[in-house]
Amino acid sequence: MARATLPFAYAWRNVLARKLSTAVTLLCVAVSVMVYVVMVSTADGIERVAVSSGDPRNVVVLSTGANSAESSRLPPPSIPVIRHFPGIARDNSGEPLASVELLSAQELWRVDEAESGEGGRFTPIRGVTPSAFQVHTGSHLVAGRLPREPGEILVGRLLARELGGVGVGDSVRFAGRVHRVVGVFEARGQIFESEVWVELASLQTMLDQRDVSQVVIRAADPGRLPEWQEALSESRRVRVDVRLEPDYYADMGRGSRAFAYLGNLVGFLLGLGAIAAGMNSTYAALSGRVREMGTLRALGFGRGSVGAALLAESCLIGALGGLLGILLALFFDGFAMSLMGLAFELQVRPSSLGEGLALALAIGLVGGLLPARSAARLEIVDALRHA
Amino acid sequence: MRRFTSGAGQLRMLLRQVMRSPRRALLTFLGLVVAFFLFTALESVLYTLEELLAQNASETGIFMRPRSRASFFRAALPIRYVEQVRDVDGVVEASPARFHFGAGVHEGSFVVVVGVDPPSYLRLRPLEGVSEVEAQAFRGDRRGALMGARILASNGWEVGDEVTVRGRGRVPDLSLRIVGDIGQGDRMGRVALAHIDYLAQVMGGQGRAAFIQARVAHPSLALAIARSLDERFANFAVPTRTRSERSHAAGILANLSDVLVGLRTIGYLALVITILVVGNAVAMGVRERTMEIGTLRALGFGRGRVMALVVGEAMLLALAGGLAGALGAYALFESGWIAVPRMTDLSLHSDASVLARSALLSLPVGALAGLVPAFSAVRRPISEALHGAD
Repeated sequence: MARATLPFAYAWRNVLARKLSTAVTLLCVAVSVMVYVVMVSTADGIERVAVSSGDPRNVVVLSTGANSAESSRLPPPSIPVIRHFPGIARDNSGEPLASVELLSAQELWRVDEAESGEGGRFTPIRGVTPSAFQVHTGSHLVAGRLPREPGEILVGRLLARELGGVGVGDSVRFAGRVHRVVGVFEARGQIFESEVWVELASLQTMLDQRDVSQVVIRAADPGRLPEWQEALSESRRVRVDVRLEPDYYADMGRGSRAFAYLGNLVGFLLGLGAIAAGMNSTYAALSGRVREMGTLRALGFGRGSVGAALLAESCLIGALGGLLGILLALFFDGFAMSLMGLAFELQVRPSSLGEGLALALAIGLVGGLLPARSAARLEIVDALRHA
Repeated sequence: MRRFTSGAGQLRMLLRQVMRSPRRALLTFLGLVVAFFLFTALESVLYTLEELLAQNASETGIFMRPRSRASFFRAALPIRYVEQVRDVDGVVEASPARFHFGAGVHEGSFVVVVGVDPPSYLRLRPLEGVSEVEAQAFRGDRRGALMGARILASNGWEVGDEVTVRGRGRVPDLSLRIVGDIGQGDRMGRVALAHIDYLAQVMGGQGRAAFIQARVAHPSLALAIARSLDERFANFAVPTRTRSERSHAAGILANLSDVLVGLRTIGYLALVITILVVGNAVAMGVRERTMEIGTLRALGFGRGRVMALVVGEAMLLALAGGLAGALGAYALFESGWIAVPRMTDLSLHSDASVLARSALLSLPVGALAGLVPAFSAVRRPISEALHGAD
């Protein structure tokens, strides 16, 4: 009996006894956890687009020295050379699996929005040929048909959603003219879902440009990709840079690190605030129960178990707050956001939820430590005499 | 005089109340510091972004580029449009520009060369750090260049040097003679200005610009002139799209809006939570002082006076914590230590207006926090309060 521990129910009842303080601390913890998880999920959402966008069998062919499609320009004579480079996979009809693409970023408006005043959404416009759907695995039409003439476009699933549910038959405006949506496509969460796809030829006319940005090609033998990549880069017939598609898009994911960094920082700061609030209410709980603590000690409960009971209370509030925070954060799973033309969905991963819960427990633990120590140090006689 | 002493007396009383439980005051203070630090830090980030965009956006500036464009940086606009823009009533000056992206001495370093027409450019955009002698040298030397301080420092170049900016990708190298230093201004730190016709000679694309910038006589003219210019060039080989610099900056901000709204929400969320934290702490104090408050009321302190004391306590705490947190964040951001990872050029900073707004927000935060405890302090009848605690 001398070293008996207080039952868990004791901590639980005490948590319930002081409702207001408990609620405030709980909310503090919940908000810290929610903000942390949401920010990390933002980073994960961007990261997922970046990671899912590359097919490990594909390489991206750019002009020499170009870091991205935006700065790359391949002149028309180089295109057949790339398309017929030995080692390219072919489709059933024997055509090479090569997607010739021209990329451009345009400001885009829904047709019912006024073009003056505020700027439009920066939207990537990709001029493609039907091969694009074969080379970019996972991309397929979910509604409508392929564009047949200038002025007809496809929109990606996420872009359509972001434009307020634009669908087949609706119109959007960019590059100074109105374009009609004839199809909506999906691409397994890849970057293409935040783009407009148009026929390569009509984009070339629109931009008055014959060059293209890049050619994405599929290797016939993915096992020998590195050698193939090297052979193509060193080809004397074209001067190009060749990058593996997954690597190419992984660079894009670097932007997500800023969010992860910010999420950690903000989570840490909010956590500090929650610790202060938690400590305050745990101290108040202690000062309101000094005599009770003395009685418990007199009954034979040890110093440690009295302190532990208080610590358990604090951790319990932390854990409850953490659960609430996680619940709130789960509401943001799949939340659509856009950042400079990249549309993505927040991805709440189980690991971030775990981290959030760990943060909550840490807040509870740190917030309860000092009050628990004070409780353990109480002398029985003083405590019993406490007013 | 009496008012002064009574004011000072009130403050002493408030202070004594706050310090009744130094530990609680300290913890609440810390919570406030953290929340206001976070709020001010986030607002400073937003401020930096907005200012970065607004800096280049004068109210009288307009900005013309081809209506359809593959890339912002491609030179596709005929330079001869400049003359026609200048002829429009209300346009003070117009000047073309195009870009050359290169690398400096070190592999992977970035030098952005902006090709301009020096006389009109310097009239349009006088550069503070450039002396009249340097400006004259720039105008007179076809291969001359004015360089930003950061380029000079990172490459070890000096005014008077003959340097080569290596082209990236298929862009050819550019050899330039540095005739002046743009100075310390952050904004142009990584920019080099060169002659647009010299750039065209090296890179090709004679007579083309990426954009034309112009200044109009009065801000109210910007929109109308921008429209009339687009109408004028609508049937030309390269139709244009002209907008005011302000609306251009607004457009970029609009595309960041999801993030901006998110950050702002987090800041305010922190403040709202803080109201609860402070309110809770003050309420604890009020509960402990039930008897004392009963005594005060028995001595003739009115409900209003007692409530003012409680609200005052919350406001004092909030002001102290808010000021400390806001000042801390302001000092940290202004110190220039905060850099965005992977964006070495963008140093975050803050502004007195951000500091003032955060610090002033601490007053309503404190007032709101004190309100509920203040009501609960005077709700109880005096006799009951005098009988003591719960």
